[in-house]
Amino acid sequence: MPIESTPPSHAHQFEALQRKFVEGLRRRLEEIEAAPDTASQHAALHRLAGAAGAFGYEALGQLARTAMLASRDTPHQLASALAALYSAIQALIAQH
Amino acid sequence: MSDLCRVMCVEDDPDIRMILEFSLEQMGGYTLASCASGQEALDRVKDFSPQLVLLDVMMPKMSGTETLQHLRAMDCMRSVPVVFVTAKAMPDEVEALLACGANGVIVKPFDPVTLPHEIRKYWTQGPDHAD
Repeated sequence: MPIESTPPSHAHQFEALQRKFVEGLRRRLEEIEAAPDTASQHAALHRLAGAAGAFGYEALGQLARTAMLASRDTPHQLASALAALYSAIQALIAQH
Repeated sequence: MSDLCRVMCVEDDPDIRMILEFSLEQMGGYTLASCASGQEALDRVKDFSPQLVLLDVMMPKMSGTETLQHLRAMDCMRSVPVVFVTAKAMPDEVEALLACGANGVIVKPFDPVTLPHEIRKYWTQGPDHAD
């Protein structure tokens, strides 16, 4: 899923970076799940929301952003937002 | 008139540092100082002498806004453009960041293909650039 505008000369390099990012998603997932408090969980979701889109995974970034906002503003929606995020991460890991 | 060459980025997330290095070094051709914390940036800034700084906001220990305050207190960094790179994109959040003394705000997720061009417009506000 390369960013469409990536020049062909850099496409392989970008795909390698995408693979490294996806390999690190399991660690990010554990960090979100094991967060000791709301602030730590919010920070982990914030980092994922900021990173995913730059690697071409805009939908994943949006799910992380939704969960991040839920953790701060609408805690009753957090469980479903996290479930959607975890599902998307697992699917992405399975693809690679 | 000199050209924009030396860019410092300050970002605690290793994946984002990796994509910044790809974007700015590999694609943009800039010489990049990639720092994992505000303290590392403060330690390296005199030797590296950046012409532009990209600064994350939410970082442990020293936040981006605290780092900016320390940078602005250094004679060599008073007028060097500093641009926040952040997922905090609500208008009031952007306004607050600009009020801290930043020259601009780039919203995450950024596009690594267009970022090298995007940062150049902030550099034109800096002291190295004179028409």
